[in-house]
Amino acid sequence: MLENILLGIQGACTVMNLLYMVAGLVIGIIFGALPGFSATMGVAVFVPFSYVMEPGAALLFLSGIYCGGVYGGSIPAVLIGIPGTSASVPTAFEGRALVRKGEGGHALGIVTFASAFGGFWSSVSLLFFSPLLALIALRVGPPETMMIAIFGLSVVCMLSEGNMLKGLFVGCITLVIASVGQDPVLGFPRFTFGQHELLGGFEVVSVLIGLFSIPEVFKMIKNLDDKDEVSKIANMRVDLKDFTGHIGNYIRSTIIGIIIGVIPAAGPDIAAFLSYNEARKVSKHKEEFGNGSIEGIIASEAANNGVTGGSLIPLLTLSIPGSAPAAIFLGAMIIHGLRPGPQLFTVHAETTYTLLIGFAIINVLLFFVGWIFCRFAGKILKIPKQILATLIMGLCTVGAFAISQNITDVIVMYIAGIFGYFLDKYDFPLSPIALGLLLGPMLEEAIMQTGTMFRNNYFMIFTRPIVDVFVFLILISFLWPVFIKRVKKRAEAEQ
Amino acid sequence: MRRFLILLMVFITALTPVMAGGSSESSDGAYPSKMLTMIVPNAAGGGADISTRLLCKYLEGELGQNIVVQNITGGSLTIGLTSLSEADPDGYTLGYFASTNSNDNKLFQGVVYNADSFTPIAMYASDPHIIVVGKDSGIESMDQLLEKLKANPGNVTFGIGGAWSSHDFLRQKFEDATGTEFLRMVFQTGTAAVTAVAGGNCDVGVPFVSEAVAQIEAGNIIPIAISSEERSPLFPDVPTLKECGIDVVHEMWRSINGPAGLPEDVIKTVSDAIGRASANSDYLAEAEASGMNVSYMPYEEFKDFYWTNHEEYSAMIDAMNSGN
Repeated sequence: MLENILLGIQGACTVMNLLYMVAGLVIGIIFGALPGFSATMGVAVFVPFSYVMEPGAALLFLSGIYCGGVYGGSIPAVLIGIPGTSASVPTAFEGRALVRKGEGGHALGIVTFASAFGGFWSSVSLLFFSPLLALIALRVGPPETMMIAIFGLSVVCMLSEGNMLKGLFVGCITLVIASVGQDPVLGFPRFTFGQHELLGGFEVVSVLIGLFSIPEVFKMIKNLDDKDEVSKIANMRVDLKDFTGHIGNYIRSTIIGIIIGVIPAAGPDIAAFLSYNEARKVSKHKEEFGNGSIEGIIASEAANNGVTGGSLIPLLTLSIPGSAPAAIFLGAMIIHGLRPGPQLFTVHAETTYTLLIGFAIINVLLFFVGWIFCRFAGKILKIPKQILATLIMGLCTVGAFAISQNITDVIVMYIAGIFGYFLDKYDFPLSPIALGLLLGPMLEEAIMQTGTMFRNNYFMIFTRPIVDVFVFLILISFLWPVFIKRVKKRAEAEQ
Repeated sequence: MRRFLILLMVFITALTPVMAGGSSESSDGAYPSKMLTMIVPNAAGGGADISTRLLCKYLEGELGQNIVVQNITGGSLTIGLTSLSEADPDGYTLGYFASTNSNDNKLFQGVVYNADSFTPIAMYASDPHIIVVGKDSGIESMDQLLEKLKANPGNVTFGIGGAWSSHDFLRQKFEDATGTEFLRMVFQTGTAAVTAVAGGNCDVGVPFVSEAVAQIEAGNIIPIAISSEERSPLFPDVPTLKECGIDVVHEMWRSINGPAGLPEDVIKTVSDAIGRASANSDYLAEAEASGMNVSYMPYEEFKDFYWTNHEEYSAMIDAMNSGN
């Protein structure tokens, strides 16, 4: 093991490989940061380029894009309130508010630090605990996936607090929208109205691009001469206090990220939402959430970058991709003759450990590359709103088309955007839509599979320990606020 | 800000050729005289994409022109195939095609192409399925599986990677040949089905060999048979279905097709080029490493095979539809 690690350090620390990592990070951050473009797309576009590289260099380059992409989405989320990828939606709630308070630099600093922290520890777990954590991927069967999806959907309640009826309404409608397309079991087309373009359902990514970008663009155009608008992010900074004061939050969020990463059905976006939700539950400053909470940013960022290393764990050991970019990563590995499995760590130890060590180095580099990038990116606040709005619309259009090079996705993006604008205008929360679209198909599939497993006797799920834990967690998360309220009321009554 | 804009411009310019496909050059002279576009209806990184890109890498050398692989995805693969069927039949737009696609109009409402909308050129790969069971299932051979099936008809779960997938058709053939009945358990991908088998959540899985190797080597699943005509060089100890007394051969083949009405000389040129590439030892080595099973069938044979296969699947779909 030690020998392999040394071999990996030697392999990863060549000048060329370090350059590839930085290049990958820069490309990834740009892909992540541009609204409409994502980490998945970045990895997909550059997979063909990697075919001509050495296997080790190719994998490091793609890892750089992957980590950079997951991080990059948070930069526009903070600066202009448009999440670059769906994994940055929770960051967008908090970041924009901090920029308005004149603490944009601080917010970006924390985003960068938390991302690097989550990513680094996730790569450490990839290096040392792969065989152990890979077991989670096997233990999580359909009933467990079903509970995770339900747990994830319960976050809708938190996101729509103070606006419960509208939030639940949006969430339910979204679940119906998520059912458009081929029925997963019988293959029968549902709600496609005879359009074969809709057989695969609405492309989630293009719906989310439209939903989160277009309303913001409209708002920008509406408030063209807003005098209160800040045009500076102030100095980038992270204080020691930002780390020591939230150490539990960092650790909890990273662990959530790694575990969600290992689980095949869920990716960085779901990790960010779940971790944000947990952070809010235990926070002493709940009122800050939604108005620029540092805790919220830490939770969402440490978790979404925590996914990166975690998602490679089942991929390398058992050939199970733990997230969408990891699936493309698998393709790149195969084309370089590196078939996942036990032999990866013996026959191909040199390349594999180069990747594992390199992954940790990438996350350290992420901090510095990200820091420099943010300083330039902060300047976009100076761009006149007219130009910025036009640029964003252009990027969204190209991005929606680039997902699968078909025009239906672009139309879907615009329709989602227009709906999003009106929903936002009439105070309907948009984030339950993201959760519904991401979790709906996962939930449906898991329910059907669980039904098949237990011959439709759903009570059998309680024989599975992990399910019981989740049921307990879900009950607590619903009953806890009620319980707290009771206790408080009684205390007040006694006084 | 200026730097950011420059970065943006560079980025967009860099991406343009990827998105826009080929530029046109002089069109006189023998085919091919300019860049070719290869449409892949599947997402980048999957089995279909990898095998096509690998083939194209060697096809470029044989044809002397660049080939741009374009992933047009969505709509359960029907969007990419629609673009292929609507392309100019000049030989400069070709595409990936697999065993079940000629019946898409029967499977999905609103599909405008049918078997006649394409020109079959040549088959280049054919992937057998490997029948696997979980290590804790107590089953170690096909006989034991059949025994269990007969004792519990309709009660043994069979994991497939999507409705109407190659996995699903193999199940149908298997049931018809043995007079047994499985309980279908549907996953989105073959990998997800194998994971469930490895975790003990599903009884039987039929992944492609490349999807199962890692789990077999890790000892989580046991291979009990393979659906090809001959044994796989990767697993020489695993018998074929025929050897187990089940008269089923089922492989998911992959071919290069063009839109309908492709000129004869174009077909010939491409088919021969695929043939020459398939004899290239570098290609074969890379294909083997990627888990792809090279199986070249030239145009003369493939055009008949295409139609026989079409009829076979068509009949199977009718039977499955009336059975449900």
